[in-house]
Amino acid sequence: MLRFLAAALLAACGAHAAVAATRTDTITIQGNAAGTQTVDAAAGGRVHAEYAYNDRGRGDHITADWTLDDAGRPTRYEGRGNDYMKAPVEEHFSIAAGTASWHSRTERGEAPAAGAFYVPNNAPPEFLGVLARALLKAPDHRLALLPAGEASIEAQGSVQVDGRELHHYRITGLGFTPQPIWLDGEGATAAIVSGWFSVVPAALAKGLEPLQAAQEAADNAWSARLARELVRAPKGGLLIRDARVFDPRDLSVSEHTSVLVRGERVVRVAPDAALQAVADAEVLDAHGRFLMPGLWDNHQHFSDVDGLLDLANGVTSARDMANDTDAFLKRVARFDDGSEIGPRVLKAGIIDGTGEFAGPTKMRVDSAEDAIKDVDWYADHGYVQIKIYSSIKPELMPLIAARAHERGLRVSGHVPALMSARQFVEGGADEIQHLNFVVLNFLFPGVQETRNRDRFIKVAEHARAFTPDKPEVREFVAFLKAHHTVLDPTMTIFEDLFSGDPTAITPGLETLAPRLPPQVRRAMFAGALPVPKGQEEAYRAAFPAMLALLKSLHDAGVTIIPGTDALAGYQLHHELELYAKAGIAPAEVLRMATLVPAEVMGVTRDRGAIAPGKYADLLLVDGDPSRDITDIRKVATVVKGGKVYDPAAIERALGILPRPASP
Amino acid sequence: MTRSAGWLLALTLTCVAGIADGAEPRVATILIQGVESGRQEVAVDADGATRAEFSYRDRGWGDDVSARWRVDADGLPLEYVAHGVDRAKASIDETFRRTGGRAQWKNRREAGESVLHDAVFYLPLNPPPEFRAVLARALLAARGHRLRLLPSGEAWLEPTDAPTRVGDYVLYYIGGLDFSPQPVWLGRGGDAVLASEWFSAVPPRARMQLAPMLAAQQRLGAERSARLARELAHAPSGGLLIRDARVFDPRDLSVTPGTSVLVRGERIVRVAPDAVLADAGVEVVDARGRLLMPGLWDNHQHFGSDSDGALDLANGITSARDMANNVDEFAARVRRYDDGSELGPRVLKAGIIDGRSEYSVPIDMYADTADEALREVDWYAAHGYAQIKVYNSLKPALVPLVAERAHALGLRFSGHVPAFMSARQFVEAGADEIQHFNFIVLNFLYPQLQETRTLDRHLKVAAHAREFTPAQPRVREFVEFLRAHHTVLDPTLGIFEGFFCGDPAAPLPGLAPVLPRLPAQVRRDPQGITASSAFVPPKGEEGAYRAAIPAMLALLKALHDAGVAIVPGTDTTPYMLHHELVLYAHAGIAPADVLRLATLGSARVMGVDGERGVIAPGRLADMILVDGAPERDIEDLRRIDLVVKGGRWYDPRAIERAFGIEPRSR
Repeated sequence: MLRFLAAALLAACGAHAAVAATRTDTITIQGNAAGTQTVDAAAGGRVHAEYAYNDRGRGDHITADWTLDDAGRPTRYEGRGNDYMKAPVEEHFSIAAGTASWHSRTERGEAPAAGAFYVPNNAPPEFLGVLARALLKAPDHRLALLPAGEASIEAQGSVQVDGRELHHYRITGLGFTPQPIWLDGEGATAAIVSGWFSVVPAALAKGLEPLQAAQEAADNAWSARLARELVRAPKGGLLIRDARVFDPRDLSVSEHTSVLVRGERVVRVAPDAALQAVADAEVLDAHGRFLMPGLWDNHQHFSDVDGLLDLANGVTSARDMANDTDAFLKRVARFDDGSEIGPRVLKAGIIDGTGEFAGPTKMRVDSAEDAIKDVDWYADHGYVQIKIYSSIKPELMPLIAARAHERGLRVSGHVPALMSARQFVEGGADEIQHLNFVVLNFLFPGVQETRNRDRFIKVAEHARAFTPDKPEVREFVAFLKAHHTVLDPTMTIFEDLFSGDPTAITPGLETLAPRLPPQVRRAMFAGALPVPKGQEEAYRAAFPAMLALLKSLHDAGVTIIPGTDALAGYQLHHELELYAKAGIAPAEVLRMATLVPAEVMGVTRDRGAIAPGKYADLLLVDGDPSRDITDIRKVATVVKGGKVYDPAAIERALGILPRPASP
Repeated sequence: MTRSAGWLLALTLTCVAGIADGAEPRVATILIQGVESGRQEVAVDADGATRAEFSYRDRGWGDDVSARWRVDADGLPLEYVAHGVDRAKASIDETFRRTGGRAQWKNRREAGESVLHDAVFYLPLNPPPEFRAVLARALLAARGHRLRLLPSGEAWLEPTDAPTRVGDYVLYYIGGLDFSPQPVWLGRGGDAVLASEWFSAVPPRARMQLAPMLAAQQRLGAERSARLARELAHAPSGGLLIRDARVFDPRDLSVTPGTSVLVRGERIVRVAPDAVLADAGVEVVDARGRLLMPGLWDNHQHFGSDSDGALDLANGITSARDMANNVDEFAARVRRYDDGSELGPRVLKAGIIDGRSEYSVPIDMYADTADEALREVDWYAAHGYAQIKVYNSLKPALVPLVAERAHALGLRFSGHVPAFMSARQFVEAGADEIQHFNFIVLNFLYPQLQETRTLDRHLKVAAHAREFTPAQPRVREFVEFLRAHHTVLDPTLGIFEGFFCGDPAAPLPGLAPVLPRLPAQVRRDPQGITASSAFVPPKGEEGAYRAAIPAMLALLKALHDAGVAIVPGTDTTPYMLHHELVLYAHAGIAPADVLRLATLGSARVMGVDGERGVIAPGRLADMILVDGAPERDIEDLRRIDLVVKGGRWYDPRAIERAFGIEPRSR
């Protein structure tokens, strides 16, 4: 369930053409046409816009009307429709007698208008252009935002496309990173472009490369500056003293232990007394804090600042579970050469079928020849795993698996529609993404069309029926165990989907949300599925039932590896909290987040434990997460490949307020 | 090990000797690893008899042989008399006499007589190097260039298309002496050269020609290996489907009958019930219910001869660790294994570092200073080694520095526990692994016994091992120490069983089941792979020696039960690996657990369990088909019918026949 667009969308607010006219833009996802935006500008600053796209059955559909004042700021905004997860949207903003008031599904408030710019929650992309133009007119190019925050704009130069000069601007204050936008010579919105999601006039759709290149150069310069400022390479060596060292091999915790790092690796682990005289090593006194191997997030989709969020949260190893095939590879190369902050990334390449619900990728196949070509492409480009997606024809699945295995790649994925999880494993899958597919196994063949949102809805309705004591559940758990099938359950996603209340903060982010930049905070609402009348009880019971299932799978010896598929770093901590909530002992949970993924991915030689000869990928934690898993949030220092990162400094650089001091 | 140099034995085992026809004694220098280590002097007496004096030193070992012989007009020995000591200092007293139609011989291991009806050549048990030239000349004169040997066997000259010459020396290969033909260079003046990377006997006039001779031997050896590889490796077209196997999975020790395994290219792509997998377009092997398991690991080898890799495969060993070797020839050999031009397993390399002393291992990787040590670690790291192995004479003060540098470069660190430190100190200084189980026992003898560069590291263990039972608090404490440190053990128990068996004349006990199948000369060689190399128990210590191996087995079991990782290794011929595993089972480790140690357990230790160690889709197709149930009776592991490495399959019988070994009867 790709949600890797979240960061791109949360900042993608609307825009508007200055001249009275009708303009139709194409919306592309991963280069594939996915929808349109139509903008009608009338006299008097009145604008009507309609915006709709389809991403595997999901996707916004918004109709909006707004009016701007002379400074280009909205005096009125009305939006209707549905959001990405199809929850209804109804949003109102107006100014009367100097007071601005607004209400939407998740917000309601009023404030003195005082020249502030209201940023809607679910606006068409055109509204980003509206903001850009208002900022360009504003003193110092800076505006207060409503409901909260502040934005500013900076010019980044221009690019010639088809004889037109397009101007590149970056707006700061909407997300963790500056948001790029392109305006034409008249100031009209020319393009909103990203590797994932783009909004452009049809005429421009083929000429995006120079725009992307310019954005990439600006992004890379920003990343490189952070990498210079936030990464510290100790001279000579690094000696961490007086740590409580957690060893996931035997779940032991050794007090008063010193760890000596030279270059990118751990070279000694010994009692403090044995490592006193170390020449030329920088000393880090742990003061008895908890030192553990770096965390793994086994389900990411890298974009934006995910690498920074990972390091800030102690995630030193990650798996990317589907992405584009160019910008992403360059990003990983930057992580590896140190010019951008990020973890070690193992790459899984996505392959999907075609059709309305096909995944956001160019790698779409309907024939064996094409499928094998795509597997080979991924194998030739350093991928270690193939991730099959929901629209793959079931008969292609075993062929993809055999080819991937012949090339030494692991095989995992969504269970494609029209087949069961059992058939998927029998067809050669080593791993299943998302625990809903384990529940869906019991609904097969009753439910087979899982390309659409039924793969969540049916699970919400029926999960509670499949308790671990049921013979069919026990049998399938034993089947998975016997097949050494690995699970990447992404529990956080299901807690969110089944939480029932789209106006609540996304579960797991409650303590983080107040620390986030205001405009980021606004997007941290639950992606809850709307609960049909009469289904309230089933929905409430669904997630606890999935936790019980998770626990029984773990107890049976099925390998489980944690992944977020959501906000990087922070939600990984919450994923681990949910495992503990399911009843798995915290020390065991820490092993699942360190050594176990290293074993699954075959990299134990270098990772997964703090031991001489392995990479110095470590985190120092305030507290004892081997006893109370919530302490995993208290990451004090992170080391990756011998380089030292200060989580608080990374957060400051992203506009995130510091974690309140522990009592 | 003392013979840590198990690997040198294969090379020295056929050091035979030659003839001199001039009045002046002929001298040859003995080189060990290119280092002058002794000499051979050959002279002809007035009565026509040849005398040879042969002596060399290698870390305290080395022969001292005085031999005298006469040959007939065909070059066949009439009389041979020798005195002295062999490499392990056991006394040599050897006689042979042929008169009329009768031959009589007696040596330390053999005594016999025979009525002769044909031409025969007596091959002494401990001849000087010159004697290989004596044999070569007799073969040149013999009908069909073939001779029956006494006490047993047969020798022949390998046919060649064109003679290989260096200067006036001509190269001959003699078959029947070892698994592979053995070279000797005969000079026009009646002198001879024995050349190998390990051991050479070279007259002064040939010194400058040794390098081209070695190069020529390597080229011809590689050509022969490539020919055998072409004949013995089978690359299935389309794929390989093994049907109706009982598949052993070391992850959960399960055995699944009625299972098919599909291989494409070098990897496994499907493992499924027979009914599920169609066999269209692939080569099919019907396992008929036999056990299919992951390929075995031998974690302690020293690759040296052209037969080592092939015999690994014949014994089901698809992964090996080399625990010390030369650097150039070995690297070339591993490359040949990898590109398929020589039969052999996948090899992980451990690089040796020793200090300088009279007991140093004869390999030019010595370090007495930190600078030297670090340079050598760096060299090994830059050349693809996965591990550093330190040796007895390394200064204890250098151990932590070597360990630290190895770890900084991502290499594992192991070794003999150097003299003047204990196993505990070795682990505390950074060792990930300990070679040889004697060092575990020696930990309890420290600090009373610290000089372990000498044979005391075996003799004292033989005398005291029985005192250290698993129930003792200090033993329990040390077992827990090793577990807590995740220290890995490479115990090589099979060679200790030989050392401590009490009878230097006996064959290596673990080889008993295969001995009758080996070539006659390999079987009888007192310094070869089949020898026990036993220490003679001092008077009164016979009981202690007898109790040593049972005590070590009890200790091994306690370590395994505590969770200490054990990786099986031979330190000698691959034919010993099965016995090493039999010993683990004798110690009380369940056979299925033993199979795990020899497969997945080893792959995990070396961090390659993503690719090897189980039969599962995506892994390398390294598997063996066993006619029996080794998961219940480990002895069945000797019954290997088929070996697959990287998707190519090998018939162990065909490999054995190619190396002069009688295949196991079905």
